[in-house]
Amino acid sequence: MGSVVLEEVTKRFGDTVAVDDLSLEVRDEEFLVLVGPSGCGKSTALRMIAGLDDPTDGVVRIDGRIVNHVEPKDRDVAMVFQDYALYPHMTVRRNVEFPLRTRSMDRDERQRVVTEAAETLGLGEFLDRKPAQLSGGQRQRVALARAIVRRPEAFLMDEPLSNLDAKLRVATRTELVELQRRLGTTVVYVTHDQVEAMTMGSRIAILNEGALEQIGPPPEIYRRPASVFVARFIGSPPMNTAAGPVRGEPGALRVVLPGGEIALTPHDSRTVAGSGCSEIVVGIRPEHVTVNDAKDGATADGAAGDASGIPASVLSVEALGYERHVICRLDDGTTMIARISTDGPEPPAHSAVRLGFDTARLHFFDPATTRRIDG
Amino acid sequence: MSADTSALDSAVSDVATQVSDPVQERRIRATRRRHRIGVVLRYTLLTVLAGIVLFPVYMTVVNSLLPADVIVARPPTLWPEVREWNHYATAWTDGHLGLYLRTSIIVTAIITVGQVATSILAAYAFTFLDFPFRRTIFVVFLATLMVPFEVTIITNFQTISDLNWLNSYQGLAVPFLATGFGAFLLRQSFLTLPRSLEEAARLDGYGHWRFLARVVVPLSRPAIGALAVFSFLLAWNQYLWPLLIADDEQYRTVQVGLKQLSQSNLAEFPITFAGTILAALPLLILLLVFSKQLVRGLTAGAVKG
Ligand SMILES: Nc1ncnc2c1ncn2[C@@H]1O[C@H](COP(=O)(O)OP(=O)(O)OP(=O)(O)O)[C@@H](O)[C@H]1O
Ligand SMILES: [Mg+2]
Repeated sequence: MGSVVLEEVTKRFGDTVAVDDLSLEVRDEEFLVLVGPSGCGKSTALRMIAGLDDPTDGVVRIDGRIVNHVEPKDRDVAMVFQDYALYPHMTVRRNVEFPLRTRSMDRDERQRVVTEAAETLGLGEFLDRKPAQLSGGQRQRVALARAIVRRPEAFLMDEPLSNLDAKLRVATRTELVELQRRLGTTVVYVTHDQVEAMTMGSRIAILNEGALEQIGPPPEIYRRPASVFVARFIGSPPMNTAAGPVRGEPGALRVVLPGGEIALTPHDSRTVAGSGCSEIVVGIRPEHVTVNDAKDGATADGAAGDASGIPASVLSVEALGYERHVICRLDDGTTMIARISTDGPEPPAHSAVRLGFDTARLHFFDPATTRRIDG
Repeated sequence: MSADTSALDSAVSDVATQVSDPVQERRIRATRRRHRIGVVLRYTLLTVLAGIVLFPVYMTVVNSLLPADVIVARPPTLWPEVREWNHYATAWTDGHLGLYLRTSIIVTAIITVGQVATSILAAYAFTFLDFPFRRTIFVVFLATLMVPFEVTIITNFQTISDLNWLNSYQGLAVPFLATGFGAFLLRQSFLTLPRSLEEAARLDGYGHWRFLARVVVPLSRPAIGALAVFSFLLAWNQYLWPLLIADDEQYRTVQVGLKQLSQSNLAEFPITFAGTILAALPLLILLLVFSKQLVRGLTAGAVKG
């Protein structure tokens, strides 16, 4: 039904390559999130699916049909714009029924569909207001209602939550996913917010400078980031990465970091040896780093640690209430962040510490290609 | 102006009711007095200015009611003891003002509707359509604003005369059906509409015409209204062109007719004044009806910056 496929799609604006050889499949009834930093081409990709921009190269398919030369209105997709694109001079009812007025649908039927959509989104009491008389969240619902009355093959949403305050955003996130389940439609959802991506997407596609870095379900992206970019983009605080030469025997390799070494597990040693890289980028999530006292090796949250970690100095500590982020600096200036519990004393700023790494949780990347090294 | 002064007023009186400290009370009363003096001064000035502007209009009304021999007497009469309202009837029938007004209204209506329609279409094309040399063509449009009408009047006259359109409504109206100014004004207004509105409409199956009619025009009503008023004023007050094109009574506009009325003979002096008032009435009505629109159009640029 509503699958959307991009095949080697490229979009250039003059010299700018907005989307670079992007191949992507959005399965029917899937909630796919396109995520990436500002300017990475998310909106452009979405607009090419909608037909608002034409690809410079490549093929766009909706429901198996090539739509490159199909008018936007005939693609059977509905779009929710970041600014909602509501018509300010029309009431909510008029706005919601706007897409239906181009179709041959009798008035009663139209009323019924509008009322149903309004009920689905809790807009019943606002039907006779103008958009200016609604809050941001209510406007966003009107935009959604206008999209769902069309019963499209796919919804395209471009950062629909970015104008809402943090609390409302969290609530709406859940509602959107719920709505998508209920309607059973395909959704392509664009955001630059990795939390939104992780919590909403059945799969996430991460874009960087117009190219696809990785696509997969959120847990997989988190557990096995395919590149340094993904590793650092997904996760907050981001994954720590440091480059260093590889030493030792094939079965027991060590990575030399500024101020110390990390001994790899036998499994990792084989993986790294297999890649043939003499230098490597090591990545570790902040939750897998412990902050240990420089002298006795006790961890900051009180547990007994080891004194063998990498020496570092504490720059600052961010206490979030439920956890703390200890921001440290290695001898060469590399920043490392540790995520620790709120138990125990706080490591004072500028104090010397030793960072312990959970060596079973290391990630490895090829410094030349920045791609993941896998066994 | 008046909104913030009244806000200040109420703020000042609010404070006054709350404090009982005599020193402060005196200070507040002084502030209020100073404030009131400011308002009085401002309104006095405005009244004087209004008087200066309105005095000639008033004198026209007075003179239109005076008998012909009184009008040239010195000192001039400021209040007519005998009011000869029949001058208006004379101007209307014997002076053919009724006929001229009819022509003026027809021609002005054609020009106004035409200018608004062509400006909307041109501005839409310059804003929402992609076509080769769009920028260049727009600049050419703008350049026509720099060419005074007097420069092209001879060629225009020749064209109209070649078309055999002398002494006709089309001859009076057609050269003014398009205006670079209108296209420019409306384009500025259309440009403020979010691009996503057009894209949303496109996705929903709205073509250019329907998008124009359902979204662009309703959302640009202030600018379109202002353009209509400007076009109307311009068309109504034309003199040179109608003078050239129409020597037939039937197609004489009121401005030309008035001039001829005033040149006929002294006995009809008050009748000319009555005619002037009659000729100004449609404008006056228009202004009263659309004054809000006109002011909004004039200040639109100022507010948006
Ligand atoms: N119409 C255009 N003309 C020229 N360049 C454009 C156009 N639209 C987008 N670009 C460029 O293409 C690149 C991708 O833009 P795009 O809007 O797709 O980014 P995005 O990922 O949506 O970013 P954001 O998160 O800021 O919305 C940017 O470098 C942008 O400057
Ligand atoms: Mg964008």
